[in-house]
Amino acid sequence: MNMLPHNENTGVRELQRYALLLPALLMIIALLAGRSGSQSRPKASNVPTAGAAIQIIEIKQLKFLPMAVTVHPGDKIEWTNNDIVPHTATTVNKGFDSGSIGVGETWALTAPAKGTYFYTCTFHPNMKAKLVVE
Amino acid sequence: MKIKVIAAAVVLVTSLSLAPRSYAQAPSDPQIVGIVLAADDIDINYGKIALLKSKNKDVRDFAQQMVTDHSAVQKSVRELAAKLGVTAQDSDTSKSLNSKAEEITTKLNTLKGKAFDKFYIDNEVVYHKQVTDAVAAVLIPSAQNAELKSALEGAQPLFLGHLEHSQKVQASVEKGKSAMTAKAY
Repeated sequence: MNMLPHNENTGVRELQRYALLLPALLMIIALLAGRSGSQSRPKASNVPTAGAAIQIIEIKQLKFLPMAVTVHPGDKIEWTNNDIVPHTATTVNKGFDSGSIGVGETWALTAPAKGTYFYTCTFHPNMKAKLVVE
Repeated sequence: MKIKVIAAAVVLVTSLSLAPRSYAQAPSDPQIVGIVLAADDIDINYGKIALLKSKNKDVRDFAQQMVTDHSAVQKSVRELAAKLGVTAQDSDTSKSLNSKAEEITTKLNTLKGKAFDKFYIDNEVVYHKQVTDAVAAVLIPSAQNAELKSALEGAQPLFLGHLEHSQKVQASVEKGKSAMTAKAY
């Protein structure tokens, strides 16, 4: 038994219809936002920002290859261990320390402040290399 | 000078165990696997003794590295052998390595302090020289299976690295102070 007059009842029904549509609309907006977000996220992690580059250094047979690398601030440097034992990429003085990079693993670093960084493997001190940020 | 004489004597004595006659006949692939596993085992054991007995940081760091690296090599050799269906086999060389290792182990167990450090690191220099020479002159040329040959070629820089590292530790032990903190480049 409906106590509301006919015209008011119609208005309420209209409101109820919009109220039902609202969550659906919100869901569509959220989905669209999520989709655009998921599209841009991989770009953000895989492609460096304007001008930045990725420098890959291979660790193999007790060598950092290439032994000397020059990058720019903001560039990404990746050390991939393709040797048969774990290694580290650790600056002799202040700078960076990868910790142990296991066989088949990669360690990444965003180029630090400008300067010349001599680094070694703490496990194998005869491994030596140089990173220049300019 | 005295240390150099001792080191030379160790070289002479231990090199006898790998004299050319040991290689009169080229080792087969199963024998090569046996030699590599025995050689790894021996150095892991030396390293473990050093970790128990030495107080010298350079010696301990080196010993730990030998345990870690030779265990990794051993694991990869075992995996490769299993993949290739090769079963490790004893040979005159592996037997000679093991019998010499028994003597060295006995000596390591009797020494203490700096005398221990010197003997351990002198032996490591000699041992890695022997291993790298044997890998280059005998094991790589004798390996029949291409993957085994390639694995030996891939491991050789590691053994050469160990040789270089051991020589640096030897120098620091001789001087009585750490040389490993010196500039690395």
